[in-house]
Amino acid sequence: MELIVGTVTNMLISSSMFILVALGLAFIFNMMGILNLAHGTIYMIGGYVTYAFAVWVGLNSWAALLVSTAIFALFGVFLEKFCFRPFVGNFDAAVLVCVGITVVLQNIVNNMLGTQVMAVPHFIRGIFRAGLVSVSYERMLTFAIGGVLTAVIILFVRETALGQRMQAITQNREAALLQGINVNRLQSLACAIGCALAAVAGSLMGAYTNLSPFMGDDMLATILMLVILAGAGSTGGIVIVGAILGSMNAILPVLLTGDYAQAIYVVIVVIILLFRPEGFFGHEA
Amino acid sequence: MEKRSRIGKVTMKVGKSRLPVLCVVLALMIAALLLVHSLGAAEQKADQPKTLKIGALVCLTGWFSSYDIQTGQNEPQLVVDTVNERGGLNIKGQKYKIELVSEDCKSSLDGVTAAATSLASKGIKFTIGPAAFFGRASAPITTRNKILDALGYNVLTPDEIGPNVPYTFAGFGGAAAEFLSGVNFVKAKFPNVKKLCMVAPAGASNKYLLAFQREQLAAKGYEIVGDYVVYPDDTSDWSPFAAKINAIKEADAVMWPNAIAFHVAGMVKSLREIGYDKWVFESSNVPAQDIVKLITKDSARKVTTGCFMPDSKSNPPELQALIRKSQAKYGPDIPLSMATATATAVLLDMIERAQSIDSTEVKKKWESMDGQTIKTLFGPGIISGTKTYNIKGHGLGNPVPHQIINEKGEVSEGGFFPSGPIP
Repeated sequence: MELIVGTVTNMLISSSMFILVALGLAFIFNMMGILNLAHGTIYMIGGYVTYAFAVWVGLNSWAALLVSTAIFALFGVFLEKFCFRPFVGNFDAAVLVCVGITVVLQNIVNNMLGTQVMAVPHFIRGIFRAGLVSVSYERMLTFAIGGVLTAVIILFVRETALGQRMQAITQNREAALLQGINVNRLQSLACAIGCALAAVAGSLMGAYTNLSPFMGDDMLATILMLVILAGAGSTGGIVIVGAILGSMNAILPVLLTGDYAQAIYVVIVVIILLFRPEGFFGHEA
Repeated sequence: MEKRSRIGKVTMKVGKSRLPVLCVVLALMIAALLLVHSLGAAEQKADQPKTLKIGALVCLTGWFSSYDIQTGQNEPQLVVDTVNERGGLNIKGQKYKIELVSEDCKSSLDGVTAAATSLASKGIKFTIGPAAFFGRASAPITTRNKILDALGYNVLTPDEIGPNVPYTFAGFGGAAAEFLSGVNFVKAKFPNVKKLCMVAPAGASNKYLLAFQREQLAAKGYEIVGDYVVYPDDTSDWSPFAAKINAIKEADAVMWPNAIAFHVAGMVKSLREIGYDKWVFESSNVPAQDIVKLITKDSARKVTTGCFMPDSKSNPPELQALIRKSQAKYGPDIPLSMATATATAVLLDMIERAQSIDSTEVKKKWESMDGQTIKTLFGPGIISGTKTYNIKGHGLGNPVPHQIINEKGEVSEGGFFPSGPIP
């Protein structure tokens, strides 16, 4: 029974983190058609920047998180203007730029800090215990923040004027331009939001697990699968598929051993794509 | 012009007959000078140390680099520096300075293959590393090129050390010695523990190592409860595995023979969060201070590791000297292992014992020392392992230090425990 309770808790946490990071990637992909392969690295560096402000500068963990989020929002604007905007429509060049950013940032962190063991200081301490349920407050907080941010983003996209304009760009960029929508400004906003979400997730997971220069690699592989499975332009699809992949991530290691769980995970995703190449909620080609 | 006077003729004859003699003497003097000069030059050359290159197969990039840069490159470099400061190796009167040549294994088996091939192409005949399960990718290449490889860590597969790869040796006890020492430690310090939940990373869960562990535990009177809990080496979310461990209720404690600091910290934190309060016995070289640093005393409780205390009086003098050198060069906060450093020291010792830089001669010497005790950084080591590795003289049993993190999260020394000879 405890195993079931523990697994359900893990499902919720994994799902919320996958959804949070994937929303950021989806924003950029939907708006600009660019698959930001540096997103995993931004997730990683977000954690390290929060650590730096919390430990080296001495800020409270929450303040460090806010500062890190603001920094990466600005970084998102920079990325859009100088790294993505020149290559809209040029998939190959955009991929190369993203790979370059990833390699440079990863190796800088690895060379400077790779041999040092680090974790973001606790955001909240203590363990909640009630019967069979035993969960740290930090894990509950991670799930809560992930859930709240996801809801805010979905509401923003569906209910606000800015969000409606972003959807218009996603559906037809040229038509949106003709309607007088400032596409470049909204793309910058999308990138800022996407990078900020990645930084928040990286900071939360950096406290929940540990920091490593390569913690973004696994996350990137997962969220790429998530975004592709969800389908282009589908924010709601990301939530549903995120829940599915988060559940698989929590359940398969319990049922299977070692690397088999990872292999089965990928096989299931491939099989789904064979039957539904446009993803669950994407539009048929 | 010939002089007609008697004296002149005599003079002329004497002058003529002296000239050849003078020429001969002059020639002899020049030859002697040349000979003396060349002998002096040879003697001078013999005084100049030559360079012996040792290859280091080390993960400089990728997920394993956080462990391997320090363990597989920086610490062996300290050993090399120490040997060179003492004048280098003395092989049949010729001095050899050691140069460490690192190749990046990129934390992957393909990367190891490429790195080993690169070192072979450079004509290097002695190597150290790679660590952990990576050795099975380098062993076929080093064997094919007759490169003698001293592993810093091995996980008992015949692909790493065995009759098919006769040029690979254990330069450090590795999984076998750490495990045996760990069992001896638990038996001495925790005599009430009888039933164990076993945990292993995927890279150290091969059938040979698990069979070895099961056999040794049974021989010492321990019972393994449930299946091994095996996790991928690059795991970042530990909660599913903590849930699995928590579900094995009959176990008195967790035994975890192989891990790195990130593994232990993440898993122990997840275990404590779900209320699992039993001891975790980890016996590979993970600094306990790093676990406390990563997950704080709130979670880092009731854990043992197979690592030394940097300031312990129990540390052998050579080990302590290297610890001080590392702290001076790389800072006091860098985690220390000294596994591949031990392999480096043992390799250089064997080269000097063989009095040869021919890898085959050193191999023969090493194998001939089966059953003998040698000096290692961790104390006296026994060359052994014929049954375990199916080849004579390729294993090494050495003492392993242990640390204890108590119920309050305080780190203390557990002492050095011998592994004994590897079966």
